[in-house]
Amino acid sequence: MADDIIPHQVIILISILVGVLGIYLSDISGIFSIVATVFAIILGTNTLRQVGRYSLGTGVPSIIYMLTASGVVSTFGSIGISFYFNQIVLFPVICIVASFLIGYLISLICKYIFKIKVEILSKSFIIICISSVIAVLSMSSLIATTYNINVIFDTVIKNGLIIFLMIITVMAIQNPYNSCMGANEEQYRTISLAISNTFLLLMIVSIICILTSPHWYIYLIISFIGWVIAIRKYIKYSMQQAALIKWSGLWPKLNEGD
Amino acid sequence: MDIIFNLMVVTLMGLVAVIAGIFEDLESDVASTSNPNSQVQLASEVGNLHKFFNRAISGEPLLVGTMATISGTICYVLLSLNQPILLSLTISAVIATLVQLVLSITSYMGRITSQALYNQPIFMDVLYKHIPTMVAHAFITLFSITLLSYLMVYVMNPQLPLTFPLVTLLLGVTLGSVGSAVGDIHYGAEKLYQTEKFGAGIPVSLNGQITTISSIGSNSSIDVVKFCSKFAGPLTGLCFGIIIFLSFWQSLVFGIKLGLIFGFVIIILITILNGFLEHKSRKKYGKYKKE
Amino acid sequence: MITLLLSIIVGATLIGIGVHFIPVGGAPAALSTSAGIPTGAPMITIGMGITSILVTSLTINQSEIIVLLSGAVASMMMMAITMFFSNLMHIYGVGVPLASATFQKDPITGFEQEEYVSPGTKGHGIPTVSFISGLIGSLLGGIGGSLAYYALYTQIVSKVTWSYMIINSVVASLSLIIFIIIAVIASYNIGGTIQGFYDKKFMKKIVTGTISCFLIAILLSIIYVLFIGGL
Repeated sequence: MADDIIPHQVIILISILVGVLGIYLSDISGIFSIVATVFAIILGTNTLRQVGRYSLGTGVPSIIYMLTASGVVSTFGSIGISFYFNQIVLFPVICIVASFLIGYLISLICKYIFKIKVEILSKSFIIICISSVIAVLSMSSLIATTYNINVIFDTVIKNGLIIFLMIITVMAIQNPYNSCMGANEEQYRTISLAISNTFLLLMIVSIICILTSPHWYIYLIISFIGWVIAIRKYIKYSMQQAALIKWSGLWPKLNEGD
Repeated sequence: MDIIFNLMVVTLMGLVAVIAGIFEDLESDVASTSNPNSQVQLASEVGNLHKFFNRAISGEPLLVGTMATISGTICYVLLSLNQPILLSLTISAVIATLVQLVLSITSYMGRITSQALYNQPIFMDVLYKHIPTMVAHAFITLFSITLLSYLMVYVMNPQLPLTFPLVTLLLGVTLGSVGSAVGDIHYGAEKLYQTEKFGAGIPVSLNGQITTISSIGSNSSIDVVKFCSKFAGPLTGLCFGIIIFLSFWQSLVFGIKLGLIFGFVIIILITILNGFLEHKSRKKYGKYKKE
Repeated sequence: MITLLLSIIVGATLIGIGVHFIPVGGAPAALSTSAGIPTGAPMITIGMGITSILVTSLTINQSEIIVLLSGAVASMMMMAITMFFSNLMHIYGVGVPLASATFQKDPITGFEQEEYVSPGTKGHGIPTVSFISGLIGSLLGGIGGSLAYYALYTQIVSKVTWSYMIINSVVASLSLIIFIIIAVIASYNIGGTIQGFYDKKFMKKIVTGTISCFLIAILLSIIYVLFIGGL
């Protein structure tokens, strides 16, 4: 596994700042929500690269299933608290604090009851929880065109679309690491696949925006352009780093004998 | 009259479920997903280079669930805008198939590039030959799941009170786990290790020594899907169809309370049948001789 | 509110205990190298839970006993049919008898296991005692899921005035999330493969499994009470 080119701490700081800012600015335009989603998924994928090399007893997708589901649970709890205290402005911050607590509690159970001895377990679980909450919230604010909690409740939660957003986030966070797992896994290639997957799934979300916003075609065009740029970078990196590109015939015989 | 209409709808749901099951299992064989793919991955690392498709998007239930729910959500949006039903089903299945196509291509390139240490080449003709077959199977699977959910939510008479995207997700995850539990055994234990003798499992010492040469050159996943379509595909379809049919049939014909008793009777019957099957196979196959 | 709290705690713990009874083989079982169902533990649990949610939502208007039983029968039927067809595939597709190397003699049918295991493997298929264990596991899981669904439904219906379809969708989403979290936590505890209640690993793992699922259930029920209290 090659060394990281962009350090992990820089990615954490930038992604959380851009994520929260994007959700708050989503009243003005949906483009900020798109940017927030991309940064949140990059944070989740990079954290998964750190913790995925330790074998934790089940496969890689199961960890992300559980942590994203905990993120959605913390969103539900924050909805209850915000309705009770009639708080609208602080709702995203309450969600992030709640997911921090739930991620920490789950990592405590893993450390002390199952006795899994991995030293970066707590930090990684908390960061993946936070990144999945930012991703789900920014995609809901893209559909609802605002971060106002009543509008989000009416358009996203009552149809059951929040489960759709949860499954898309699970697929977007764990697919790049799972697809590029192997001996020559490298940061730039994995992150470019993460960006291209996010834009592909944002194209689907902008089709859903037909129901609620008149500017859905602008989001579709922006996501399409972003996807084209990212996938060209990914294919260029793959062709450069592969052992050999062949268009026909069998594999080369190894010199040491089979 | 009402009961006969309901019975016809439930029978149609069962038949559509059979088709969905067959093509989901064959699609996961042509693109080498889930459990036996770990052997294809291991083969390059021990020195057996190959020409199989190597796709690892995620586990199989999550993949089928995600694609089915993408298709279901787009169909829900189109139905809310009052478009005709058959057009919305087709367009949503096409869009979800395109998403699956892009994810498969990037996953193949990613996995093989990460094995550059073992000199495994990227074969572009593997991409060109396998992708059209995979896309065709995936389209039929997604169309059938969306049609099945539409029948459950809008046509059946004690109407299922869940919204459309949620039902496609639930059915997709169930189909993925059934297809993984039933159909992958034929691919993994039989076709991938074709040079071993019929009648035994694969010992741990043989992991990674898959069959890479076949009748006209290299063994590819098109050979695998031709082999598995004889037995594994239809059996998976039958399993999923029976699950969907029996879950809804008994409460329609017998009423709710008697239907529960009938359900218990079916479960006990299946257990007895299983014990009978185990006894018959032990008598016919006999013990393993020490060689 | 208190009944909601208790129902979710009891229901989620029952699901967690039920996962330990299901015979799971993991990826090697697809190559006939180990016995059990050839898929991961979280996936088959989520698949079983989903069938029970689908059928429970049809019968939610009846009394409580009927709702619990219908969820249990639905998940048991899905598990029984899947295991039966998996055995059919082993016997006719690969040509192996059903046997497992983790125990000497099947207590229900009395069959010897040792000589029917192919050399070099740890068994293949699902022998009868594992089959019965899988049925018990899906019974517990179905009852737990239906209990949580019924409790959430009765609480929400007494507080809001939404339509029937919307209430059921919200309750189904909440129960699905319970299934996902408990299934992954329980499979972390199992740590790989297990053969049902007749396995030696079962006695060691069931205590830690119950405690951890109980703690997670308390956390989940507190959050759900906060959500419904604020509506």
